[in-house]
Amino acid sequence: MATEVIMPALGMAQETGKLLTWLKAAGEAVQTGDVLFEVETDKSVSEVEAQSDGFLTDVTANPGDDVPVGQRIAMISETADDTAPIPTAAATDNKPAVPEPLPVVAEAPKTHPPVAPPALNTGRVLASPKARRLASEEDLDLFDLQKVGHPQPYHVSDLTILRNLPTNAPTADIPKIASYQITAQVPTEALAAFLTRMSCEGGIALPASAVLCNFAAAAWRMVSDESEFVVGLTAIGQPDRHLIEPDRFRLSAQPKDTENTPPAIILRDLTGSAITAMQIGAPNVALMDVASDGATYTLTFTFTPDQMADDAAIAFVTDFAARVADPLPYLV
Amino acid sequence: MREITLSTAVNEAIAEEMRLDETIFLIGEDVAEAGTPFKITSGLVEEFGTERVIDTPIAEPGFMGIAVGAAMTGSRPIVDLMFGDFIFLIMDQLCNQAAKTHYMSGGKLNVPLVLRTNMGATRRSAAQHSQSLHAIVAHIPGLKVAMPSSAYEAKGLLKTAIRDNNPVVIFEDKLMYQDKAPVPEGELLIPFGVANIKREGTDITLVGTSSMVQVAEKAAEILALEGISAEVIDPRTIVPLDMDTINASVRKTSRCIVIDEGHQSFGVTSEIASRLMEQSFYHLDGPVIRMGAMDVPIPFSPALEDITVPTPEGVAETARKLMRGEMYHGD
Repeated sequence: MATEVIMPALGMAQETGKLLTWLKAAGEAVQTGDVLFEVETDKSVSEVEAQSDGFLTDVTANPGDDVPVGQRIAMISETADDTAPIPTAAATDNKPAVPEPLPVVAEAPKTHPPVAPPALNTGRVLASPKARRLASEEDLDLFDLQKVGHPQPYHVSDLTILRNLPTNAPTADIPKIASYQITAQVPTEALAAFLTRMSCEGGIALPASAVLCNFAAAAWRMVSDESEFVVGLTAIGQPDRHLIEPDRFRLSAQPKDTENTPPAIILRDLTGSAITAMQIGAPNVALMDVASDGATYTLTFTFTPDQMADDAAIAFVTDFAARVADPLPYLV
Repeated sequence: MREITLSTAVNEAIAEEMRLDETIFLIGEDVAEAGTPFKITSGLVEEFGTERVIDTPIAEPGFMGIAVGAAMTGSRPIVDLMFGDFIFLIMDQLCNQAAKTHYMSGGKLNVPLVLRTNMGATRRSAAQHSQSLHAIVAHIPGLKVAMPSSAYEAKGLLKTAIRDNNPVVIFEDKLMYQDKAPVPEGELLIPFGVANIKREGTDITLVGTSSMVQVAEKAAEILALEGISAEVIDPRTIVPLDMDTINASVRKTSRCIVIDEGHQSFGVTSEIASRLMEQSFYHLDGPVIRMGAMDVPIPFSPALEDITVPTPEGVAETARKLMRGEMYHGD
């Protein structure tokens, strides 16, 4: 069912909000939590998120428009071309057209738009000048104390309680941009057999990581526009290496190291450790973790949407996994 | 250091200055043989004679006018006004003449005059002999106002006042004349406009004037037993007023009670509280509280008189409420 997108009330005495920009185009797919548009009030610029999944349709407000709070400015419909009838008062159970405050994602200035709790808010917070000043300096919202029912007026001593409220308790920095992961599992048997053969018959002792780097570079070349790139190799207890196009060198030859060019992709060799995958914050570049339990390689590819598209990532992991699973055809 | 009473300290200051400067003379009712009702000027007439220690008829406007004229023409009079309550009788001489002559003469005439008088209730002197009227004088531009809080301050402030080329009014608390304090012999000058931090503290600032400094100190002792650290500040002169020291203290403690024996409304407490609000508003964690004498004529009844003016217990209780954030008076 289609849902309305309305101009939210972000301030106490706000009557209108100025639509700055749409961050989604009409007809574009949106997911709950996607930022739909930016609103400027007298206090700040705020981003407004989608409240449901679907497609943005029926956009009636343009950038620069001053829109009364509560007014519908678009719909989120089930299909991109859905011209769903606009819900009428009767169709929405006669709900009063009270704009519900929408969650605010980010703000330009360091002010809290006083998003008031519906029931408890009496319109103002009684607090000493010093308590107000310190709360403002620490970016704390005295409304939060009111929300939990802490008696007014507030003094500096009450800020201790405010600081320890769950909403303000210090949390670990969550990466702003979500990173995605693709995991594949491949038997180690074929690659192990190949390395044994190279060692016994050719007298060439190769580390598995050399082959893995070669494969990662070759698979990367399939999905990347770059013709020259560097593969980073990270292994626990080993110095980091930056290898120029390892797939262009014979396996027995050492690819060149460089310090100047940042790697396009990093291969993290976790074999030989109990770790199967790591995610320590969003990686700066696409990261392929290779872990092994002896019988199986677990290949975990971590990337962010701005590093590569989903399709390319899937293609890369599929190709890399195929090479590891059956190395001979690719090396001959 | 030897300890002397406030009354001896005043006597000593006058005598020392009169020995240094022959243009100084003392004038007022009963200042010579009687030595005033409080025995402050006893012995001065014996040393300096009746030409420099002058008894007057009961005619305050007359001797005040004589003193202002003498000051304009080269003398340095010290006027003794027996009770502060009588200041209404000399308002024109003090506020229109002494305060404004330097200004009206384009700076050609100075009025190096000291008016010594008193203040303070709880002496069972009833409504016309118990008032603290310093705020009325402080309101007039051109007059400096000193309020000694001990024998030490009384000597140092009076000697500074006598050497000042402008009219200075000193209010001594009549209840403190027999209070003793260590006072150095000889030279002691306390500059005007420099407040004295009597006790350091971190939780609340108590600003007290004159005898209210003692009240604030006793309140601070009570509060210290309860773990509340009070800072006590004595401005020493209310004109000029050392707001730098008071602001610095309040910015540290973020709470303040101003205590003064004048009537609470339109008084010294209001002035200091207002300036704190203007100058340290964003450092305040509670309202600045004024504690003055009740806005009633000072009663003769001892039981009533004692509760008319601030007491250490009353100040401590107000401080507790301020510390607990209980000074909220509702919507």
